[in-house]
Amino acid sequence: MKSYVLVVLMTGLAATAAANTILSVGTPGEPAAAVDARALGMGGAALALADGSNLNGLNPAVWASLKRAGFNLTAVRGYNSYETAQGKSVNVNYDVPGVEIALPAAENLTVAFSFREKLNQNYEVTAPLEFGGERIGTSERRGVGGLYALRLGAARRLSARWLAGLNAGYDFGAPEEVYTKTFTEKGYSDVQERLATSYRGVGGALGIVWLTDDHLSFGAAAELYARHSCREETSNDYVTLIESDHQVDLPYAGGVGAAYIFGPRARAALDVRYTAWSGFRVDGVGQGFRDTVEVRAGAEGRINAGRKGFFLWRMPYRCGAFYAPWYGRDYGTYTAFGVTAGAGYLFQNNEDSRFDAAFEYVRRGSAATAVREEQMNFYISVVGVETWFGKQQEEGE
Amino acid sequence: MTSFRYYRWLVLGALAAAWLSCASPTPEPVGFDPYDRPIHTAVLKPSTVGWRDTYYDTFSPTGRHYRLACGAWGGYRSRTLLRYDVADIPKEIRVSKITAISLQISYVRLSGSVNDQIYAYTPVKLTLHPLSRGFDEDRATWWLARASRAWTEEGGDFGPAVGSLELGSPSYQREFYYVDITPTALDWMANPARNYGILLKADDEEIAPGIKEFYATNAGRGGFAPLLDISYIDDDGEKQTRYVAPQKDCFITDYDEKFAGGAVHGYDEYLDFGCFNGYGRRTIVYFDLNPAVSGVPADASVVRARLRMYYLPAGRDERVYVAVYRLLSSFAEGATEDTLEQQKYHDNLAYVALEFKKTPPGYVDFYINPLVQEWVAGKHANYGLMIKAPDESEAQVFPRFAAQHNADEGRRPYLEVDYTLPAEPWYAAGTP
Repeated sequence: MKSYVLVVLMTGLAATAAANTILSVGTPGEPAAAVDARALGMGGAALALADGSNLNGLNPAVWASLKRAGFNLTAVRGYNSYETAQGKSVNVNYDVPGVEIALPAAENLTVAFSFREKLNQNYEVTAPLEFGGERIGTSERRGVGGLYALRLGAARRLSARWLAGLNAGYDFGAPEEVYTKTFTEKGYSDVQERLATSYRGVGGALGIVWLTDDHLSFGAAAELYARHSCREETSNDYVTLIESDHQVDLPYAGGVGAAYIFGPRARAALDVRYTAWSGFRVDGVGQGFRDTVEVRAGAEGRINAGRKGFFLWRMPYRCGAFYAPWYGRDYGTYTAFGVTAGAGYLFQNNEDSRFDAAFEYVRRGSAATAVREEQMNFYISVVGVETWFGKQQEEGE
Repeated sequence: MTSFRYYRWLVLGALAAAWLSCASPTPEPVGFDPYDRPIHTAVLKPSTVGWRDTYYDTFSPTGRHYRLACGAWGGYRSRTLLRYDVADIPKEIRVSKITAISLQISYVRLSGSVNDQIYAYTPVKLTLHPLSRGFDEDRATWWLARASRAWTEEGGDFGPAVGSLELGSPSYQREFYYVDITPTALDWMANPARNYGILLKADDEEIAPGIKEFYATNAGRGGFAPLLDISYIDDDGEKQTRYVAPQKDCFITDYDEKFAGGAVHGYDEYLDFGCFNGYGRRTIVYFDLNPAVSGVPADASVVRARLRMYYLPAGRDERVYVAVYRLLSSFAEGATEDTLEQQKYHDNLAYVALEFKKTPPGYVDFYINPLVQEWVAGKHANYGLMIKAPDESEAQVFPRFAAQHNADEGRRPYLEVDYTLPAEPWYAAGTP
């Protein structure tokens, strides 16, 4: 029970999380990583990985492969730097992108709860404030918060080869952009405008996995959203300037993946995901965003798949790579390439419980804006299975 | 967990250290186009924004001031009002044992405080008169004894002189002067209902020799205020003296050139402001901030709003301290003095204060950013603003601003507003 309390507390912590990218300026924010450190280590490819240890919510059908109750809690520490004509800036940030709990409820049926960060609008940029050719202060623009999703779902093993799952739940978030002008010249008053946005709505996901044989599997998942309501309020230090209500259509997303399990010592995965950002509409008005297609691939391997032996040889090691273009309207050919690497520490008596760590290195660039961005994210996940909840049981008993 | 040996902790520790030690953020991130809201400037000149400006005079109570003034100088006449409560006389002093009751005047010159003005240097003969009408020290002016009760005679209702004293040039050493008012004080003790107080004035206010100042009880310098000095014989036959502080003390001032009630204001070339011992002049200004007229959008964030007034020093170029207040009722150019004296303003909130001291002629800036922001955003109705001394009991001077009707266009007032427009949400640039 204590573990449940911990998970709930960490869920609350996520509301204060921060990621940071200059690309969030002028957009609804960075699509947050929705995977755990294990999948991140494999380049973020996990749509079809139904091996009983995949607990990241990318594909709700994967839950049906779990044999025991478990949870996954992931945290990330990010290092982000961007370079513009004005100079280079470095930000360090922390985030809790997701928490997931899955409970086998009946034979071939698993129910799950997840909290996931969907969009992260954290950023901070500053620049000299000039008026009449003279510097009279500093201008800062800062984004805080994002959009989050609470999901309740279920997955069922339909047959020996087919798994299916779905989830649905509540989306919420109150991202805020703060514009501050700080003056050094006499007579000026510092001003701060706050553009607070509040989202509410429901959404969900569907997924299937086809286990063609004991090695090869295919998976597909789609995320869907009902129209969200959005309240916007712009205020300064004195008064509320603008209040308005809007309807927001979030972009549909879907993907297909394949996974191959070579045996107890190795597996590989490949995902292709599509997000229809062009369907992102506010009050029925498209925002000019580009649809994105991501390609992610990765592999995991162990030197010693047994339960005994030197722990370093028993650890799973992972690597991966991905291509993920940015969807924003102003950044033209802004694309990202990333490589990942990771490892896990398996508990000797319960190898489904583990610590995972992953490192992600991403470079983004745009010839059009001369902006270069570099990200290094370090993920850690704690994955606990049934014995962590009190029931001591060895596999095979 | 027994198999969780030390070297595994080392691995976990290394992972944690790596996680925490990536890098430190730069203290001031830089970016491109972070605000994207340029500063706009709107210049509101009298000819374009329904500008109105004028000034009027007023008499202000002085009961909260630290100082009392008495005398006549340069067309001003000041009188001090005092009242002692006989109930404050110790009960053990029997009337039959009182030998004398005097008014003790503490007379001193202190830099920047009392008797340090040019009008205090010449000798003045003061006379003491019993008042025949009560007064409220927080309301009394040359016209009024109380809030809604005028003096029968302007400047106070009083009887014949009961004493006098002559004060010479003030010294930095404190001097005491005593005026025997025994019969008057004994009458107060015998008939407390007749105790309205006492008035000090220059013996001849027409020749205007000068004005003398004393500390009031509000100065917090107990021994310096005019005291009632009671000499008596105690039960042991010893001579004793007791002092009683004023229950009420204030001063009232008249000015020979004050405006008549029917005087019309609003088409002058100059706007007077300042104060002198309870007589004040106030400048009031209005400009239309309606977006259609001013060009400042209602949703603008004002970063600077400066009211530029062309300052003209008074002949006696001494310190003037003024502040800006928000008007609570409208005014019109061409209104009479009687009408303008009813002008309401928010006296608890001064938006900006300026001190003029040997300030050369030229434009001075009143930065009224919050006030203009509130008007632009519609938080308060815009009736205009008032420029006046925060405490009109002070002895200052009356400099001027050039009015909108000034013949020299280069001296006319105007308002300059720098503002930004509200940040647009990220989705504002969407395309259908």
